[in-house]
Amino acid sequence: MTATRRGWWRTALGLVLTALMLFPVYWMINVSFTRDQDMRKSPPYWFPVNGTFEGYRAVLEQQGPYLLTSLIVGLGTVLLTLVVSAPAAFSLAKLRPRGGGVLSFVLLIAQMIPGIIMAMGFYAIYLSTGVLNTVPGLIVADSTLAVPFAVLIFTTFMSGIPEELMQAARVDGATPLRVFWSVVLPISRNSIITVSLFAFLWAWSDFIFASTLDQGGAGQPITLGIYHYIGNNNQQWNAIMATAVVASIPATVLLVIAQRYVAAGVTAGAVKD
Amino acid sequence: MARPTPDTAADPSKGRHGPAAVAKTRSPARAAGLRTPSWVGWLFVAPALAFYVVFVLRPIVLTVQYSLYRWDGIGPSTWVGLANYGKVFTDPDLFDSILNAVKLILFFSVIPVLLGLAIASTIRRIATSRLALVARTVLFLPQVIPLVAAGIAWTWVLSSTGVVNQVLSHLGLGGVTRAWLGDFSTALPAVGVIGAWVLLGLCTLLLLAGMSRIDPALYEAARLDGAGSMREFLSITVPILRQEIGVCVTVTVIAALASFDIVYISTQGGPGNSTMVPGLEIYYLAFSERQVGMASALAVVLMVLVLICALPIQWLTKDKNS
Repeated sequence: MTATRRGWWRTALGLVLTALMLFPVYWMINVSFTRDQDMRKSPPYWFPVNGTFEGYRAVLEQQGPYLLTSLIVGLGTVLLTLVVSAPAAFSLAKLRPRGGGVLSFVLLIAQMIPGIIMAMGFYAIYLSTGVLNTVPGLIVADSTLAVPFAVLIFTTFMSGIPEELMQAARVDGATPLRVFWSVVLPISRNSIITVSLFAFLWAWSDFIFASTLDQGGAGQPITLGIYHYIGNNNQQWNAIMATAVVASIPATVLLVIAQRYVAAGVTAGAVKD
Repeated sequence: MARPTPDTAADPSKGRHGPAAVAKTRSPARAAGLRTPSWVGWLFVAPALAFYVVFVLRPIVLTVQYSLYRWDGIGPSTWVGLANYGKVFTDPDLFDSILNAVKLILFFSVIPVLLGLAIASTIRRIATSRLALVARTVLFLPQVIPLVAAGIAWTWVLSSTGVVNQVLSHLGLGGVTRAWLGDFSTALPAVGVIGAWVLLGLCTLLLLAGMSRIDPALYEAARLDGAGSMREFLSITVPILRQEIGVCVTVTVIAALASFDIVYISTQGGPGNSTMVPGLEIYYLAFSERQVGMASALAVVLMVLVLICALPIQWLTKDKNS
């Protein structure tokens, strides 16, 4: 009796909490469908009845290029992150060169440097090399966020690969590069997915680098697309919210379909050794 | 489904004990000519190292250098020694931004970690249920949707005609309604609430993952000894989760001190300077007011502050492993 009552309690608490946490997101969706004249209605429509697709029409008309840029930046960041971090992690986990700890230390520090400070550094470099306001510049900046995490995930996983497996290949005359490419990388599939997922999500949601390094760029990501709405003192709240909803969709879809990899990333981040 | 599985990178025990055990049994073979020369190892590390030396270490050194000059970013610079630092600590606007960031720790760090502990130990017992699965996804949602989008949603929820005020009015609390993000006394806490909302899910998930490793027999033993839930929580859960709690605190304290996106979107530092944080101040100084020297000095102070807060926690959690 007590057991079931306690269970009921927890379920109710869980429901209330879930609803509270979800509310701002739900409200964003609700407002995105609300007609302009109902925007300040009291009490508000709690559900998108009498809704409108006006906001989404505006998104389709105006935000396409921003979304495309975000997609390119996201995929570019995934690629660059993998190319830079996987070999480094392989070396740290398996080749263990003398002094390799320097890299681990640099990555640890890099993880703690506030984004705005990195942005200032990038700005100076980009200004003098002419990559300011370009998509490749943004990809490089976003990758610095993901690489420390990626090296951590890969190193943790690759350390667990049995030495026998690699030695068998070495005895057959495979070079370290060959071992890395043909033995280690294929086994690391799950970690590659986890890393790609997070690199993409971070690049997609980045605002700090976009607003400092790509403010005047021809191709701007969706986070700036949203921001310009506010800057314009726009009163079209359904369009603003619709943009926010569309910007959140890729992240949400990835979270739901790749839950296992997200969880792996979250917990692996906890083991910073 | 969200539980860490052995075939992913998530299993910490595997990563830690696996290679050690292997190395012990296989070390003779390793020594027998299959070792890779160090320079080959360095070759694999080189891209990452170069990347970080150029894009992280060099800018940090330059920032320290700039902080000793008065410079508009374009023209000639004047050596001013430590004057910029003096101003960071004496100019009320600049120093208040640091104080605001410290105050945000209450919301970004203390609340998510405490609440996360409470929620995790609550839903741990229903962890296998469908509701718990949904709850985990929902909890993590704020972490993955762009902060800009979240900031916009919250700005609307908390606005003077927003849904929070409408609910308050209906409850007969019309007197306390206000533009939460536009009021001098409530703007900073309101920004804090947004931050707590974002970080709560991350903390809860981390702590849940830690709890799934605790042997249920420990709780049974404690219960047999007559321990209540509170006692169980304090004597078993918290000590075992020390490492996870450490990580939560590190991540959230950094998020508080280095906050930028949420503040920029929701208040831009206002009203007045009541929600100004160092990250935003550096942005204004460097990119709008062209005071690169001042911005750099504040940046160095912020960096030192973050390292002072984060490194000891890192070290503490590491200590336990070895």
